[in-house]
Amino acid sequence: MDFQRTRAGQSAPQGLSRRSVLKGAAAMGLAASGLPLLSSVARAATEEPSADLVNAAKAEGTLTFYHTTAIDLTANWTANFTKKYGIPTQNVRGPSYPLWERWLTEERVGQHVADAIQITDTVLIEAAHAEGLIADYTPASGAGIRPGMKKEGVWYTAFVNAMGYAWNSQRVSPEEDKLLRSAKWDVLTDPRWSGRFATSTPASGGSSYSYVYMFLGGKRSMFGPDFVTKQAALNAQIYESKSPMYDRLAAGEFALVDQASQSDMGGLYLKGAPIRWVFPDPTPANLTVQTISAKATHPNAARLFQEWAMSHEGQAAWFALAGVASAREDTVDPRKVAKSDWYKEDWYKDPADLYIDYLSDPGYVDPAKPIIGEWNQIFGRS
Amino acid sequence: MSTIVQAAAQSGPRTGFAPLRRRRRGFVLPIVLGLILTILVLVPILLMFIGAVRSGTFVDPHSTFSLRSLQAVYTTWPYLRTLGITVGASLLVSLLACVVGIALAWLIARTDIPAKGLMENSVIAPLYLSPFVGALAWLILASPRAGLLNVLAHQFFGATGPIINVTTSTGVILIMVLYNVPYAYMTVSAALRGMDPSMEEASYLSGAGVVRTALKITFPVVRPAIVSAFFFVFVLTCGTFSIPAALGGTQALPFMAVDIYHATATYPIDYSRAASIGTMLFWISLIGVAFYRFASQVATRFVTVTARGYRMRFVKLRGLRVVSVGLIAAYVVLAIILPYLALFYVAFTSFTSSSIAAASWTLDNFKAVAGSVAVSQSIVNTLIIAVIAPTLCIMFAVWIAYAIRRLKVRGGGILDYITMFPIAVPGIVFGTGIFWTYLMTPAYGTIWILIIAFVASYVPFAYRMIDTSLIQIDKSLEEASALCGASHWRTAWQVTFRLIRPGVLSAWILIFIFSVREISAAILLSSASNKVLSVMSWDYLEFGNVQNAAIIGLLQTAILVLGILAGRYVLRIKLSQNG
Amino acid sequence: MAQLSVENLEVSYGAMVAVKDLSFDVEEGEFVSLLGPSGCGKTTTLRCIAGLEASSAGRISIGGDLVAEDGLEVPPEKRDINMVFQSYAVWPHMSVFENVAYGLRTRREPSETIQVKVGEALQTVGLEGYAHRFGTELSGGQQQRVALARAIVTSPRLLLFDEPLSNLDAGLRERMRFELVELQRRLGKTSLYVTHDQSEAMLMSDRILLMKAGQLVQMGSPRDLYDRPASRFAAEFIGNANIFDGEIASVAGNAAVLARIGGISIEGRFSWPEQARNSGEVLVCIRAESVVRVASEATGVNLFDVEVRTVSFLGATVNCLLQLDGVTLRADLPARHPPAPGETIRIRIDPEAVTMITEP
Repeated sequence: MDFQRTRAGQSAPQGLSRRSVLKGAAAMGLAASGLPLLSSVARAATEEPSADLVNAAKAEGTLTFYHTTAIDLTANWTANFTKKYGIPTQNVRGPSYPLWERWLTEERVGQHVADAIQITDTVLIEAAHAEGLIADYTPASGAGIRPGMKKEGVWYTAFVNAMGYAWNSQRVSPEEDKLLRSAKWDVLTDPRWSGRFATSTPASGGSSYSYVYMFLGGKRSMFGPDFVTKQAALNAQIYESKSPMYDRLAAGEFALVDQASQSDMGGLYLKGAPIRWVFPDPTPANLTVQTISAKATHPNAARLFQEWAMSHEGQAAWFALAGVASAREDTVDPRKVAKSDWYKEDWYKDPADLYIDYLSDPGYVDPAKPIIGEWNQIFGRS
Repeated sequence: MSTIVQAAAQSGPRTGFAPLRRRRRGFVLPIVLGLILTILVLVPILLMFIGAVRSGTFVDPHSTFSLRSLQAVYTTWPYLRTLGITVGASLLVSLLACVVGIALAWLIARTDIPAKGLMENSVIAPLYLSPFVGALAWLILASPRAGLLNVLAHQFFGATGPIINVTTSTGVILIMVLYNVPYAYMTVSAALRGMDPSMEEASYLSGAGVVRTALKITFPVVRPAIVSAFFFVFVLTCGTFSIPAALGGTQALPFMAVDIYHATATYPIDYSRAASIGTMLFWISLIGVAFYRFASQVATRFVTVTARGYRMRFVKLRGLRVVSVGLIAAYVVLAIILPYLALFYVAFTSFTSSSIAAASWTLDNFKAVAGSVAVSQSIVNTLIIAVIAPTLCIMFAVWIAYAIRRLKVRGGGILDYITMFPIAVPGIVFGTGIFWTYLMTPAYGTIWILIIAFVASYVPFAYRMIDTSLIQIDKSLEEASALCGASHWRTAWQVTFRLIRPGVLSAWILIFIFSVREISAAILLSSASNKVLSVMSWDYLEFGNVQNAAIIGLLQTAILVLGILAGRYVLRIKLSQNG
Repeated sequence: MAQLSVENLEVSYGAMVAVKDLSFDVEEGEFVSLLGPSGCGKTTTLRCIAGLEASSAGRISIGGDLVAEDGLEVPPEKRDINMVFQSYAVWPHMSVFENVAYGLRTRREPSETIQVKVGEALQTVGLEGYAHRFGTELSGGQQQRVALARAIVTSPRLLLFDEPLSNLDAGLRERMRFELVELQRRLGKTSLYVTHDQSEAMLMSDRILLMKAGQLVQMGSPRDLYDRPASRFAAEFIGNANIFDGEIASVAGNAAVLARIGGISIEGRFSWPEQARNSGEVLVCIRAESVVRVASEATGVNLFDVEVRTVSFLGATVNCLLQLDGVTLRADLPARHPPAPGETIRIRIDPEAVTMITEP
């Protein structure tokens, strides 16, 4: 399993890494950690935050949380935390890069606004860690996070976002629907989508960047500029952020979009939008990771929040809102077991071959992010 | 009689100090005003210029002096192309907005069109809709394949292609025209009302008909007002960020303000590039402002207000009445009715379906918004800012105008010029400047930084309106008060400020509207505890869902309408004269 | 046939009646003034004739053509008349030449004709050499001349003047009055002139229509109006006469009438034969300049001994307040050898100059 092997500095043996990851969570949990299945009681005993931390956090009274996930979804998630500990949160939403830049600037001048920050780019966090801006904290619940999905004391993955493509079932012919269900990346380069396809620029944030990185970076030999050039030839509408793109897909402005994540597509699906999505192999995924500011105004609240966010409870709370893969082995989407919502659809399949072991690739961590320039060039954007 | 005697007796021993006092006022007041203006207006602009020659942000330890961005922005093709398109599109927008605005102003001020009050309120009603939300609504209405209008046209008339497409450059320009018409209308309509009606009557009596009189006399006489409206709209449009951004960003129509936003919002984040584009936009706007200032000065010189009790002879539209009402109705439908229908449609359906028949209606969005802590916080913040920002702005503007116009302080010309500066600085540029100016102060991250930004951005508008009111007050009214023995401040308080009250109140209302709607500076300055509705609507569109963005847009309108109704019925303020 | 004919004109705004049942004619070449205090409806009448305001009832015809009647309203540009405005209304964006040429260009006259006609018009008003100035560069008097040239250049059937001199300062106004009247006589243009200044109306007009509260009070030559006011209003408005309430004592033959004012008796005559009465109340109207100081031993009718109360020096005359029995009489006496306050003098008032008005 590649999850264990993707720690920074390690490289996963290629043969083992592309195997079905999320097929049966219990089995995976066993295999991943090598530990016996933990009961929730046992987990509670080892991962519960100390009473001192809880009291200190409550004394601080509030928490400011910078994040990049959807506004209402995140607000509902943090509401669970507030409900449990009585600590209200101030959530600030922004796209990864400007949000991070903003936070860096604030920290550098001593305006300590954010306590906990959750973005989609680990490279930026590690650079800030080197600058001494990141608190060194190891949450007890962090033990449950898969080894490849944390850098102990620095950042912890809140959840894993797998990205496939999605289509509006009312804007495609039955034959096209069949083609799309085949879940092959090559489908995206078919000239039939000309004028019917939309995508999002990798310059907008960590998840889009990770997605494009697979095609132009990590799996360049498999896809490379040729693949992207064919996509660019589709005369795609390019979005700066994905929410409006998804909205237009649901409305039927486009037949097809890429960078479709489970959380967003699932949300639209539940609202009744005629949307279907698949995860072709290999499926690019990126990590939404959380870290604590070294000079947090509410350091204990931030620590308690991280304890909660990385716990089974926090992860399950996220699942209930947005079905994505958890960073914890012991947490799976209960709907999957119940075969409810989209899990009952015949077109739906979990991602089988997650591409996630790029976090320490030299091309990925290069602060110049050369693939953004390459992508812009291919799509004819200055 | 006794008052005069008393005053004379009192002034006796003080006469020796009078010259001294005058000299003190001559220096202290302009210096204090100058300092405030410097901090409020000049420092943010200066920081923008410094930022343009730094390789990184001000706090980036690796940042050095660099001309790279300036060079790229001022000399390379993509930027010059965007510059050309921005200027060209803005000129076109101003031209079209002025043509429509003039036509509407003439119809309402000069013809026997029915229900003038209603007509005028309808024409200025788009002011109550944030242009960003309007653009969002138009995206829902007229995106090429899923736009509601296009889908309906397809269903009912069998249209094969899109009948309207707002995601094209034409579409973006037309939407910008739609939301700039009220500015052109208000300026021209004020000029038409200020114009001596005998000018036109003389033309009729010389044998000229309605059309010849309008073209040869009416419009040429109010030409300065038209020119000033033109450049006002031009400057506003040049700095517009929200409409082109909402309608598909750089793909439809490259716009400098959108480029600035992208430089600060997409990788690689490049504040230096943003600042460099900002400086270029600054020069363009400065030229526009120069023309605007010149034209509005000429305008006040030209307009001859004669307070005679005649009723204007209205042009009889006869058969054209229906056409004219239809023209206004068409404008109202496009600028107000359709967008609001779209917003309500989106707000009450679970996802944006292009087929109205297939839409699933729901109240969940309202519940979600009502339950959102962030939304209720931003409502409170918006209300606080909407009261404090215009109030402070007006107080400051009255102070400056009074100092320059009445006290004739030293350096009044320079103060006047600096006060007008912010018009030349688009919100998105000014927001960045304000960000760096107040980053290290306690105001950062609070609603006060937004209040400061709004006061600085809108002080030119308040100042111009109040200055115009001051000019119109006959000095003898103040002199009469002074001769009655009233002190200087008593005169100012009892006479001057009372007389300019209508001007002050309508300036307040205008800035209230701006403060509730403002989006570009607010996006850059928003933080955990100072979110406002305009930013929420942007955030919801970008990172949430259109449904909530639409609801926030409706909430904004509700606040604006409540504020304006309160203004009209409680304080008896009118934005315009007919309404 | 009358050049302008107004019959039963009525203008009302809702419940407010601005002009009531007004009828008059203006003959070809005649200069007629509409005179009255502000708000009397004179300007409204003028604007109805110009077509700038709609009438509620009545007929207006110009040069024999009906221009306003029930259901008919010829727009101003089709009435072939012109007007000089109080505010001059010189178009600021045009040169003097263009201002004047405007009406000719509207008619698409050939440019040579326009050159000639504009030149003539400018010469007529004394503005040669100003053709290329702009309106805003001219003084008030010059602007008024431009407006005048603009009005006459189209040779209108009727010239309307709306208090054209009221915005000028006193000296210039005086001069312009003479120029205007001279010009009108020279051009022979039928003119209707609105003013609230009685001396202006007296000086310029062939005929004056005196209006009050939307109605015609009296119409006639300046002399008629002055000498034979038909009402208290006319007597007071024109020439500011002394007016006393009296009672008719006796009537002798051809309108000579004796009236009693308090304790004194005064002889005069009825202003209009139709007002003649044998008894009852009467207004006794005496012009200040009709009072003549006579030697204290003089005898005859209308001789009174009065006490001088105040003497105000006006230049050629002194204005005196004289105490005559119970009433106070204003009198203009020659400034040479004026009486002194407190002095008792004898005065005579020519019975011809004592007008009796029986209208209430």
